[in-house]
Amino acid sequence: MRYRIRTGALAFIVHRVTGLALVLYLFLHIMSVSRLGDPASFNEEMAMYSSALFKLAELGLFAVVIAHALNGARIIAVDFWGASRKQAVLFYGAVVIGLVIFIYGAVHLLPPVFDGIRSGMLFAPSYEVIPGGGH
Amino acid sequence: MLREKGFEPGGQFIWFFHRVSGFALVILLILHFAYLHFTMDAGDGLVTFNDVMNRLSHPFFKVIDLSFLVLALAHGLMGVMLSIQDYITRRGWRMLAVGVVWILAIVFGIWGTTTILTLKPFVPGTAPEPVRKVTGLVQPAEDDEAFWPIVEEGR
Repeated sequence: MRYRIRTGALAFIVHRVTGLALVLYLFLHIMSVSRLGDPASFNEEMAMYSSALFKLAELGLFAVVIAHALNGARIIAVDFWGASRKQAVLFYGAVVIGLVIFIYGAVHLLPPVFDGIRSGMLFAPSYEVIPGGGH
Repeated sequence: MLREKGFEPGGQFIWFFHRVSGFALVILLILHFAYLHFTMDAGDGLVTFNDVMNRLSHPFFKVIDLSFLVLALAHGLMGVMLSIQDYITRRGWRMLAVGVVWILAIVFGIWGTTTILTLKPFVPGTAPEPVRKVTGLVQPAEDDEAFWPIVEEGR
């Protein structure tokens, strides 16, 4: 038996996978933000997030959030405004809008990634913590 | 049915809440994102301890972040519960999975709430601040006054 992957089924799978991924991210986010209790440790962590690999991961996170949010909007439109007959159109519309938002994010997040690849410093933070240093 | 005992989401209220909280989360996320990445780190590209404290010393942002935390956890873990209902059919495994989700909800809910409510007060100049490091690739322009300090000659 083979599933016939159409827009609705594809949207369901994407929504579920991105949703579970976002729950994992939420746990990580709560853990990392809890380091606010120690200012120096928090700043070191933030500097680590400025490295090329983390910027790439942030772009991936951005894509996951866009997919989940826009498909959620599509679900609300289908459920509350009875747009079920137009769900395929809504799906392709969401894809187009999502791509536009993603490209905006990529324009901002990819330059530091390319810098990191060219210099071979994928993990190196682009900031350095100087205790007691000025801003 | 496990669902009838009220420990797993089901029914119209949950269905409605999932959609309403999802909508609220998108609005909160846009605010969160705009504030963090367009206002707070203005220019230097890095969110520091003092940047966060500046924002969170205001009670309005504490309320916003707390509701963000509670809504995100509730929305996300309800989604996990729905996945459990779809894929785990054995009664014992299902009860175990539902129990784990409840424990995660309580632990991370308390963890996040404590972070927001027990923050140390912001005192300017006391916390260590990261300073921009030029990584060899980024060559500042010769007229970049932010990088090259202006030295007035003849003084």
